[in-house]
Amino acid sequence: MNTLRLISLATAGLFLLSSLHADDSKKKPADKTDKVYGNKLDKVDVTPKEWNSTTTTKLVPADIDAMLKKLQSQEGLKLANRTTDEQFIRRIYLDLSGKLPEPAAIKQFVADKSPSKRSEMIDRLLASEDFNIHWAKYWRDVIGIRSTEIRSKAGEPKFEAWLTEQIRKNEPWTKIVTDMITASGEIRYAPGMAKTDKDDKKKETDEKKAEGPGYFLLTHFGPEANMERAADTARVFMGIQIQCAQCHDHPNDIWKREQFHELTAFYARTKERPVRVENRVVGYSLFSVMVGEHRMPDKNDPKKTYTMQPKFLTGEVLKRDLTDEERRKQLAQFVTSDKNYWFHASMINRVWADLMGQSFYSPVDNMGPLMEATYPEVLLKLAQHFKASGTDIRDLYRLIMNSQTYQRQNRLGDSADQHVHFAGNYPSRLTSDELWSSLVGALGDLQQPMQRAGAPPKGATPADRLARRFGFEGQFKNVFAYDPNAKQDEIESTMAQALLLMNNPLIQGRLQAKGETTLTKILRTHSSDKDAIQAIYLRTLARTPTVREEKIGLDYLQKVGKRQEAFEDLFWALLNSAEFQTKR
Amino acid sequence: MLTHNINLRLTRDGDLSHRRHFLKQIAVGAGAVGGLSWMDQVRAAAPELRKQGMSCILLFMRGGPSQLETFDPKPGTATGGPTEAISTAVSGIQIAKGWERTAKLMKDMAIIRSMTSKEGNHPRAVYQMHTSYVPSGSIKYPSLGSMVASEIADPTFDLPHYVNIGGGGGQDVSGLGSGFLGMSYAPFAVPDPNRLPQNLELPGGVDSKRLNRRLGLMDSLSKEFGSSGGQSRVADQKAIYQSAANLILSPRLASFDLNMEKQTDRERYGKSTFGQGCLMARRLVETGVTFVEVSHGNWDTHDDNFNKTTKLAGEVDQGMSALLTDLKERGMLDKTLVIWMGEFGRTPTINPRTGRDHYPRAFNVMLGGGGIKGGQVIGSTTADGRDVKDRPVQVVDLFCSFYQALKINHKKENMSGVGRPIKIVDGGTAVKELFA
Repeated sequence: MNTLRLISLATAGLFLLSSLHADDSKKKPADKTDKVYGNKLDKVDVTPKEWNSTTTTKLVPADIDAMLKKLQSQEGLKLANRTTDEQFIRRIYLDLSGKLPEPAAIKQFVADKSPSKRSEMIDRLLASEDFNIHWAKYWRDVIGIRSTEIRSKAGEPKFEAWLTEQIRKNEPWTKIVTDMITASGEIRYAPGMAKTDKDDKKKETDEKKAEGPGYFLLTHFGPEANMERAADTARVFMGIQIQCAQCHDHPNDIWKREQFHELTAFYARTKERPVRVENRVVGYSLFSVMVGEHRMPDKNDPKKTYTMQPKFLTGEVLKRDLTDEERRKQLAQFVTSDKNYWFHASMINRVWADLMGQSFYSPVDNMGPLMEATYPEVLLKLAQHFKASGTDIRDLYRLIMNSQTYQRQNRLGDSADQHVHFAGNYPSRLTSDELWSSLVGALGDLQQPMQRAGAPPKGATPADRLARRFGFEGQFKNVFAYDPNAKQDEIESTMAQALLLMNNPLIQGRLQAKGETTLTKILRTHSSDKDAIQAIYLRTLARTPTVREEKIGLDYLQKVGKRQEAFEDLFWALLNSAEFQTKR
Repeated sequence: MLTHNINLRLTRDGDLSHRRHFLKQIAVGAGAVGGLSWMDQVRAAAPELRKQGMSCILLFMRGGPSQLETFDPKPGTATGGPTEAISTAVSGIQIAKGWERTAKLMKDMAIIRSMTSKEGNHPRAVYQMHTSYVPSGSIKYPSLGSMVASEIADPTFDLPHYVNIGGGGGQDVSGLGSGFLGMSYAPFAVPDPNRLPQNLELPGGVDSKRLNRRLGLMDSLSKEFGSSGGQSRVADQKAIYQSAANLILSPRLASFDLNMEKQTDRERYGKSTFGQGCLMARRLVETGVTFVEVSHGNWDTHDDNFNKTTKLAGEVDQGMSALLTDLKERGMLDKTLVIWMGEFGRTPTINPRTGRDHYPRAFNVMLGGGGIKGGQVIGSTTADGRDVKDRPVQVVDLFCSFYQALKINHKKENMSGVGRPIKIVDGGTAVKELFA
């Protein structure tokens, strides 16, 4: 704790001229324990040898299947069956658009006899605006959920809108990441996020100044922000957790304490400050200071500190005394370089985890030369493909989703948290956005009639989206949010989630067979109970019921005796089911 | 999340501790599956569970309460302002005017006037004063409430272990959440003590019989998914729904309903949300809840400090003194640690708007109950209040003291999500004067 404090002092003292301390920078901190594992781990390469030595070729989906099959058969793994068309369409709708397919779309897809219908559907959804929005929400959560500064949340809508735009234009991942690392300027709170409506108006006129990419660095404020920024740069874009090395050498990885502080030195002249209009904070701004270096405190005597020179994890060193702009430009180049295996592999690992429910390295942001991985040779080939494609994000989704591996049914290991080695798709929880969309798909609009006073009227404007955050949609998503960096088997249901779906008056009102609700319409248009059960299944679980399920439903109707009441219970049971809340 | 494995591991200080999965599994309770029966699991964990029935109530003053207008007044000095000091039940201890009810109970309370920290930014300081750690992007530290609940709560109890009244209470960056300990120890939020918490009431037309019928139908329809890859998700869902149903149908749920109290008792706590929150805290602790936090806002007195703090003190003085009195009369004070604190103090210098600004360098906290030796002041500040004069107490020292009072080993390590051992408190020593 004391060490942490002193680091913060050291960074706060940026403005001190480095020459004042020039002498102590020559003395490197020495510690016996350093040398013990230094000797052993110094021999480990940061980059796998094959990354630059083997020729880079693009893959086709069958290559993934062939590589994995060989490895899986060596382990005697039984592969899960191919998904049914119903299972497939629900899965890709959730994965690509974050929504459930409409019953009519399910029926049409199942009836389609074309052998290429799956890949056509993948292409169609990848080209949709829903994909752009869904993809941006994923990254908004990846970056926002670890924010150390709650005030930065107000910048989220700008970030989300910017990311949506990037993927709409199919910008390469290298460019998107570069923009985030090199961002500077203001990010103003979006309308609706301000404390008063007076501010809202003012901000809408200043909209052009806002910068979405600034959000990444502005999730941290204060004296330790630059260390958090360095840690996030390595963790989010390279899957490398180097922040433990802040205080001590990483006990089970190769990273040294100095390396963390050398990485932080790239951000040594990056600062943030509030943007004020008439004495009110309307946003935050990233700016550069002209002098100052990051200083690492001595491990044994925290009063001593050492000036750190920017040095990247793969060994590249910067000249002394570069400007903030030059440092961050260089950093972005090192991070997104063709030579950086971890940058490419980390994107594969994330997309794979998102689509398959399990990843090569787990948790998804804890990779590195000494970390345990499942089939790292396959990850390497995929990373090479990603590099060869010019880091084309859509191309990566298309490649993985057209493989048999992706299109297999669910499979678990012997225990719930055992890695299934991609022999099947691991069932992951819907994100809060996906669950909300599914619920709205099943029940119709869930917006509360009452909105904040002064909030803009309905319509697909950003302001309306923000007003919704404060309403029921915002509450719902807050209750169901989870960290997308976490392992799927560690994400838990909460009491508040169960209570909300079980009892919330708004949801309960909409699932009744009273008024013009979904259920009322289904019961009116399906006089046969069997047909009505089918319609409810399609609307909630996006599949037809099994014969057994139909019988349970019919028996239940008979037992209860009242048609409406029994169907309300069925609707309730399906919306509250684990299946409704899970990708399968 | 339910797993079939119980992972035991030796911590560095030699305790047997359980990995997160095990803790979660136990807390989820009734729906446990796998090799061990529910009772086996409870017994296996029993040594960790029987912690003398201790509980804790945290009264958190959001915004940063002025030490000079609470328990470290400096009458007659330039920095002290117009605030007067009053005598208390303990001769020699004076506190600020406006805290007359608390003054009468001073024999049970200990004031620490020498708190010192470096966090002068609200969210970061709130985080630190809830977790003992500064915020970090890589580790989500559990709040005091979640940590205490995970260490000493009875997992078979059917109400939440950690209830947050009147605060945001979310699982967010503010440090109130359960962090890496998992959702079983997440705070259960009660935004307004005058109303029953949201979603606890069965919807119209649904009674306990129909709820159970619905749960039965959900269970029988879960077989298809449960036999094709969804096993653990289905088991998890069933367990949490059973716990939720137990909560909804629990006779103890009435402890959330202040209408069960006599009007005169409600008035004794004061009509403020905070006062009513204190009353709910007493009811919850009586029922067996382990940790309750009651938030009181608006202590961020950058302007008009003296008028504002007079009003704020009135609300807190009434609610807190009624709470302490009731706990004592009912014989619960020895087993209930009561903490009064905020995220930092305020500047001795009075600014041109007769306000005081953020000041973490020297501030005060007060605690009592839970075996704390009352009737004493620990540490002091200089005459102008700008510095700690003697016995500086760091945030980590304060947290070590909380855990010691609750009979929890603050040196114990828990595993974070990335398998990194995290001490309950990193460093620090308990303030020994607090323990007779």
